[in-house]
Amino acid sequence: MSAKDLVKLLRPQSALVKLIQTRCAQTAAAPQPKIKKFSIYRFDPDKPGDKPKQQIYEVDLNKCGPMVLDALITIKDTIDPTLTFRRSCREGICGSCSMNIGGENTLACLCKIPETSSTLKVYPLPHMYVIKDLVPDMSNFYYQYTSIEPFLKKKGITEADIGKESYLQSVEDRAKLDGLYECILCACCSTSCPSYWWNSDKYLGPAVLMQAYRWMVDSRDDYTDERLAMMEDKYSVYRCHTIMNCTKTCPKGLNPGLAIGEMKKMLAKYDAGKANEKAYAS
Amino acid sequence: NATGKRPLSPHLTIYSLPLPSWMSVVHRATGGTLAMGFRLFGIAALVAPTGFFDCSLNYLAGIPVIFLLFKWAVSFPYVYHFFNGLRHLIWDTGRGLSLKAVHRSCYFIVGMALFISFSIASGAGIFPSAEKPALAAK
Repeated sequence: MSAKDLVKLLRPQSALVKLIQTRCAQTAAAPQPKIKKFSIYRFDPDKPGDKPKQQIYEVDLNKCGPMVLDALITIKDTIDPTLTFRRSCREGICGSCSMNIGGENTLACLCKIPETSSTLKVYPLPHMYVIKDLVPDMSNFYYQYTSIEPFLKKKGITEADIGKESYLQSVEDRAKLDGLYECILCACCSTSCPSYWWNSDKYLGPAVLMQAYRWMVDSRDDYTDERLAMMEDKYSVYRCHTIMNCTKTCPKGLNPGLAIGEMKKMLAKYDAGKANEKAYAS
Repeated sequence: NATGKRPLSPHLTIYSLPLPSWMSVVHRATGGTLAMGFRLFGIAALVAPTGFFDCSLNYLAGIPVIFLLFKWAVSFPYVYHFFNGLRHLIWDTGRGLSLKAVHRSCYFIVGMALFISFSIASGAGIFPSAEKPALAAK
């Protein structure tokens, strides 16, 4: 056998390698469209007698960003300009684009489009009145938030004292606020809570309760007992049965269930009589 | 609140309820069945003719599989509700409320409840039942 024959025998893969290289070049030049189907909740209040329904859109994932919000924007730009949804920061900090994606409440701008062949179902936040398409009416949620007085309240200061000097706080006291202040009020947790579904009018819901706890546990706030006294009824806090859907679904990784548990402990320990006296006296 | 003609967005029909929420549902269901079960049993004990319970138990005992299922159906609600109730009491102290802890305790409780209720029902393993000698004597 000559040397040439030996070389040919020893390297049989060279032809195969050349074949693979040409095929790769072909696919890189013209990518196969990766079609993903989205089944999106639609409702038009301007059409009289319109019923909510699902509409299926097909998006080429090669021409669209990785997140569900990118897909929604692509659909609105290229396929259907009437698709309506809230959005703003596109980075998971404003809380506008909260919706139910694939059965779970999350922010559309933080939810990666799963690259499977199944249809992705998109609904508005559960058990909320729908204004249009994916836009729910959040007014009750915001009203409940204002009702807990989410601002610093100090005793024995006058209008003139405000702004004179900063209220100091130890490192340990500031650490108590970690995991509470990061809430962006997207309402994913409250609308995932079955108790909130059945009692949205009277039960405050995990988002608002976590913020109530945030102000109770802030060392600079003097009205802790009064804030606790506000919760002394059957519905505001005690509809929570520790179902823990809230913590599971929070897109920011916060734990409202734990905050409510700690608040229940505080409610058991504080002196209710004195707090009521103070509340009624002020 | 201009909700007037606005539709309510779907909830139970679309939400993918995770395991901890199902455990809460089963806790309520077992609580209800235990309560109703005890009441019905009490009323039945009052109004039933003598020997009624012995006859029905003997009849059931004749079909071993059904008997086992029946015993399991009585023991599972009790054991499950007991263990999940313990978890609720632990939650009331503020412990175990992290997401990881909740999932771990879910698996633990389901496993324990199934194991112990089946042990009680079959009379095998850690809970030897007193019925076995009686059935054998028949």
